[in-house]
Amino acid sequence: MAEHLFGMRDTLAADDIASVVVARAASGDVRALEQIVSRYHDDMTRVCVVVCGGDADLAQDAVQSAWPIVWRKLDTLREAARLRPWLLTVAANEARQLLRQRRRRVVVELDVADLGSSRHDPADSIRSVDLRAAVRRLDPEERTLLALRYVAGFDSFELGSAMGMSPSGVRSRLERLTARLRRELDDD
Amino acid sequence: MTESGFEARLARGLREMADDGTRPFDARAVAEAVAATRRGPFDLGPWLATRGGRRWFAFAAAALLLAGLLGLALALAGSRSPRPADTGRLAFVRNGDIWIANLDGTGARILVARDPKEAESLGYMGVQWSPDGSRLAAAIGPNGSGQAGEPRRIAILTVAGTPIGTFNVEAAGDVGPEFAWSADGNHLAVLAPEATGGPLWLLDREGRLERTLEIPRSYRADMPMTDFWFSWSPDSRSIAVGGCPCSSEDNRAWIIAVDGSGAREIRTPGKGNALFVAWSPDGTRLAIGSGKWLGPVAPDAGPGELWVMNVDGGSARRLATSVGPLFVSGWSPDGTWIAYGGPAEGSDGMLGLVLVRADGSREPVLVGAVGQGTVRWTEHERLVYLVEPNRPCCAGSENPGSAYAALKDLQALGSVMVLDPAGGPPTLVADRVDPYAVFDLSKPPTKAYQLTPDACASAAVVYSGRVAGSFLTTIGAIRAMALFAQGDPWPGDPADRAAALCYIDVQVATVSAPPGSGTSPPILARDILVVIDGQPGINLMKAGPRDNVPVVAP
Repeated sequence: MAEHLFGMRDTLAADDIASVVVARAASGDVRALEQIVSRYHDDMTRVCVVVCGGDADLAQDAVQSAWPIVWRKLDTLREAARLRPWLLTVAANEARQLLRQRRRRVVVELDVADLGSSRHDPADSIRSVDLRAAVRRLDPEERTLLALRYVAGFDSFELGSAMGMSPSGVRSRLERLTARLRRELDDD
Repeated sequence: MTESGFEARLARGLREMADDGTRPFDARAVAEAVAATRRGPFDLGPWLATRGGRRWFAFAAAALLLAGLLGLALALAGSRSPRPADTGRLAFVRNGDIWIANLDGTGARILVARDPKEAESLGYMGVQWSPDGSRLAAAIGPNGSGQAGEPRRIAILTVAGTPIGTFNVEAAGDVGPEFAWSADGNHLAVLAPEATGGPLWLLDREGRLERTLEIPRSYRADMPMTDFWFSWSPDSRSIAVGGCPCSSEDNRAWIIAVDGSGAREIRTPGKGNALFVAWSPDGTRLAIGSGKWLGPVAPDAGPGELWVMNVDGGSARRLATSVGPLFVSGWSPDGTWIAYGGPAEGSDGMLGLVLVRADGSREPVLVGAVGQGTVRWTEHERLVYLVEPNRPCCAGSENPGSAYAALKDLQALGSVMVLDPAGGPPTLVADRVDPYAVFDLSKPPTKAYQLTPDACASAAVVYSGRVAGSFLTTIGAIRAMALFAQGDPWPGDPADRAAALCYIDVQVATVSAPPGSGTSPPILARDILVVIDGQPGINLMKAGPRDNVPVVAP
């Protein structure tokens, strides 16, 4: 049963499935953990990529660091229905942690870039590059807010819980942040 | 929360960014690897949940802590902690090309190949990092097989190998030129033995001549065997020059003011020529290696002596003697040790790498074989040096006046080694190194860099768009392209943030010469883009001296 728990939507409610999987994983069932990894690893990576300002390698490192934490603390998760926001929050926190460590590390390596590898319309590339540049300029806290809101789809309650803020505080911070990005990107 | 139009575009852009960072993964492998981090046979969770378990755990933890502290105290009392890894990067010459490598031997790659358009015999002869690690100075010359009078040049390169400037060395003989950056990185001193022009040239960071410094005429006899070595003062205001007329013994060295205000002599108490000079890290003392000059590998060039004295010539003390001249290579970063190469007792006729305490409190210690005089100290006081297998110190030279001739005749290839003077065998960093070429070790970076590999590519896209837009707006009939982007770490960022310089060649063509017409548009300029924290196009600046530098079209 464990191998197909997330696929059994026709016989069990989603919350029930999550509860079973989480309970099994928390009790040490590796196959149940595999189910969770299979379902959420990509989501965690995507959040971490934005938190890390587009650094995919760092994001992968963050997710790798997050999984053992998840494994150790899974039995502290009170509501299995909160599994996804909990996982994404753990991953985002790990990404921020790694960013702090990385800033203290010395890395001097830069390869010659190849301009000819651009695959898209230059105008799209410029917009994309501008957005990515604007995101990189944000601090990790702000990038976490954006990642959890726009990539993970958190609502203001989930955001508040993840960021340690009230839902209204999160909303106003997000509004200020998007307004700033809008100005920087000249998007009228 | 509802999304506005901008938020929808923002969300789409962020999701694209996020999607680009995902990679295939094996969920089973991840789960199994994660599971291996807990749930082993010693999972103490349930036991620790009991009061007795917690009590026993607290007792065991306290006992372990005490035992650990005791062990730590014993370890500190009995031995030194291992040296941390060094961060400097090695630059060396292999087959006339410049290579770089990490000090553990990894990451070796060719940085700049010798120009195939040059004469067959010309290649790189030596390389030195600027103190901030942002650029390299390299000597170009006959590459071990040339003759006196063949051209010599000094090239200034970015760490990516992009040429910045060159300086033609006048009338050099078959050795050198010697060259070294000042400690502040603002000047490069170049000294060409046997040059008939000004013997000591001062260049700026771009390789342009700033000033010619004269070594006193009476000292610098116009003899074909004349040879000099020099060392910058740590404050970058003076250069100590040693050498010889080579027709007689002269125990004088000179301290020459960089501002051109003059020179003063200092003398060793010995009789041999004061050949090799090295300034102490605190700028108060000089180490001078001397010898009766007939060439560094000649058998009767001794006695060699190592002297340490104050920069005013006082308090001279002889630290070592030898049968031949001593190549004083430098002081340890803390000023405690001096490393030198020379024919040492116990080196079995080979040139030895010797360490001696600068205060003379211990006898010199032979720590290894060495091929040439260059020895570098790492920031954690390991020694980096070059050895040539089976090269006897005093044979094989048809022209005893030329160490270079002896080396090139032997055709030996060198190996750069790293040695921890505290013990252990040396480790190989790079092999097949040109033995006559000076290698160098970069100082550890003082700033933290974190550059995404595509920082310059992204910057070039933005730049291209802006330049094209600018031209199209103002002129309307000109198309601009940023064709080339290459990044260097830039340590001068005041905010201590990750930064890169991206060099972008701008090619401008009129509409009448569209792409594919067979006409390659000329490259008009090389612009420099500063990319900070991977943010392209935030600071776009012209770097005056570097604008419009001649560029070889790709």
